[in-house]
Amino acid sequence: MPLADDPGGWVAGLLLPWLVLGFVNAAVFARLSRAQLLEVMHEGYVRTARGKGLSARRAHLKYTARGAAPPLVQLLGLEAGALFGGAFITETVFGLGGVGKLAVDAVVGNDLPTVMGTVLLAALCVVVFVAVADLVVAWLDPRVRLA
Amino acid sequence: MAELGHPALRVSDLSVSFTRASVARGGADAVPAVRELTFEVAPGEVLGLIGESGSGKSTVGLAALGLHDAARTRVTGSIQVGGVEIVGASEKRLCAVRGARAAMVFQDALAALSPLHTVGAQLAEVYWLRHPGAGQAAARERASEMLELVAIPAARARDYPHQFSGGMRQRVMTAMALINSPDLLIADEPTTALDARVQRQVLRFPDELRREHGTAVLLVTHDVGVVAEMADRMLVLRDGRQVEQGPAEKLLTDASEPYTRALIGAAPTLRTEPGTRLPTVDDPDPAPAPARAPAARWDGAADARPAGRDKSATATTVPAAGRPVPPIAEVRGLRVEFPARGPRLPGLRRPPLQAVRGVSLAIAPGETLGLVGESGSGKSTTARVLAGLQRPTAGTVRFDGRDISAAARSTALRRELSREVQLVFRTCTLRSTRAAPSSRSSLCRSRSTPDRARPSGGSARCGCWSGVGLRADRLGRYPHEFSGGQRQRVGIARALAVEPRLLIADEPVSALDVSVQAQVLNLLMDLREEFGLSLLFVSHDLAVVRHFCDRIAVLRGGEIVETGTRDEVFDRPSHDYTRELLASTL
Repeated sequence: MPLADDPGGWVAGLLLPWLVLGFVNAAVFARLSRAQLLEVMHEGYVRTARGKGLSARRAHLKYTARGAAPPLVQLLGLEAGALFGGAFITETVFGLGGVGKLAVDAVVGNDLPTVMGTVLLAALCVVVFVAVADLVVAWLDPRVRLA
Repeated sequence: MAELGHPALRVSDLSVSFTRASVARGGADAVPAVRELTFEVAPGEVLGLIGESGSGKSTVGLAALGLHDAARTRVTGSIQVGGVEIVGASEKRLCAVRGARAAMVFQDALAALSPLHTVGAQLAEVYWLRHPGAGQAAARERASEMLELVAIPAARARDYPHQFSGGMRQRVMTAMALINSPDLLIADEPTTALDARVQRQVLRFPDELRREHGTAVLLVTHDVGVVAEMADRMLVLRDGRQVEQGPAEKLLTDASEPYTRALIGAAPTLRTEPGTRLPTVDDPDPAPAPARAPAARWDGAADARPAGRDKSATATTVPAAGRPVPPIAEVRGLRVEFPARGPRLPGLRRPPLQAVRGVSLAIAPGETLGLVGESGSGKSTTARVLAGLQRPTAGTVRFDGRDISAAARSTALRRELSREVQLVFRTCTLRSTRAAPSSRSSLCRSRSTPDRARPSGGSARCGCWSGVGLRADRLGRYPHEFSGGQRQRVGIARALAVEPRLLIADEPVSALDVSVQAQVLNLLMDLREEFGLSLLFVSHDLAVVRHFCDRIAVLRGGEIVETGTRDEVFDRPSHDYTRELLASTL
């Protein structure tokens, strides 16, 4: 269902594939978030923030969340890049004609130019997203910036 | 303002215990950290809370602001800050007290300051919390004011904590605590890991504030010198219990409890008799040791001293009177440069870091040379050059007359050198997966040469081990099961296992508690006598150096500013910098 014709239908049609892809990644993010937050919560500066008189909620939102973010952002960059490169199984299951299906069909059918094209596209997506993620991490954590 | 009539801090029957929820042991154990502690701090007074590591002093400080993790800690008793009860208080009440009525300066400023926010922003936040009506601009103003107050240029408010030096970070923490003019300041080890001069600077500000605003200070520390400087009253803690409490003057000079006397006496001062055994908590009144005979001067000036054990044919022992003794180790015109960090493009390259610029030193056999200086003065680099671990950029390094400047690159030379020269570090890092003795006996095996008559394996191990005062049943333990002081001993045992002639100790006691420091120093003194060791003792602590060393060399910015015998340097310093250092030693 093309977006221009029927936005509601478009969303409805793509909702399930989105959820599927989301679940897979959500598990990884949940695990990592928990580990990161636990670690950062016990850092000295969070205790200082509480010692200043910040309420627990404020302290955790402002300090713990920001401290835990860098690895999550980096993971996001990688995952987003990979996603844009193509999600073959999901596309096949839901009958969507996506880049992933295109790539696999091309490999199976020995269609070299298409294979090269899809691989290049996937690589480009990964590189761009990871680069953006790195920039965001540098903004979040001043220690990472170049001198 | 404190409510009239209330002490700034009143603690009654405080007990804090940490629950270790270990299901395997059948439920939660409670580890008591503080037991039934009672004391008061009046407005404008400074109370020094002193004790060894693990005595519970930091726990008291944290409890006073309710900063313990409620899930893991049980706090009973009463703590009143300016009349407000802290134990069992609601989050809201605690937040109202923190930062405004009472503030805390934490121990490790690098860990305590958020690395993600600028210093100015962190300061402004504290101000804005109490004065939400004031705009952001006003908060920033006040933050800059506070920075100026602690002698940090206001322009640096935009910098991040990792861009400051240790002393500056500590001052930033102090500024953060004082910005709202609290009635109570809790300072948790505010000067650990700082040089003497910087310590003085950092302590100045709470003192000024005390005089201006009548702020009470709870000073938690293990450093007796700091307490002697600043405190009106003192409270000594041991294992969470109070040992003694009273006016600082009285406790420092004439304490009634032997533990207090031991703790105070354990830290050498500029007035302690050098070379004597220091009191420790196990042995508060040590028997005076026989006076140490003066070491042979390498220019033959003093009497030769009788050597310890005769170890090899090339014994560096009693020379004929009048004949100059060649130094066991020396450096001449030593220069060490480190290449600059940063882009390697021409034009953007920064000049190399000159760690050592033209240092000349000599250590006579049997002598202990102390190398003093502040952080960054090049002392560790010089020590590493003498140990053959650092390549000199220029200059000569000799051990026993042989040139060893190639040792950093040549494994064979270094191995040979390590039979004669050993290093002891500030924190003894042992391989965590090997039991302590095996790492040392392998050292013994690889180093032993046929001409050294040495009993094999097991008994050699035991010999080294008991020589440093560790029990034989601990031989099989892993390094992480030892305490800091014990690990240092293992490090010393390791270094002495090969019976070196020169021991290079780089800040061996700086990371230790005052009482453990005394034990390790006593141990080193005994071993020095027994083995006839020559020592290079690197430290920033002048009092310890004075206690332990025969001759001193003072380093500043990679250059030696003064050398001389202990008495010459300490009683009649000739250089201004030496005088400054002496004046700042607490």
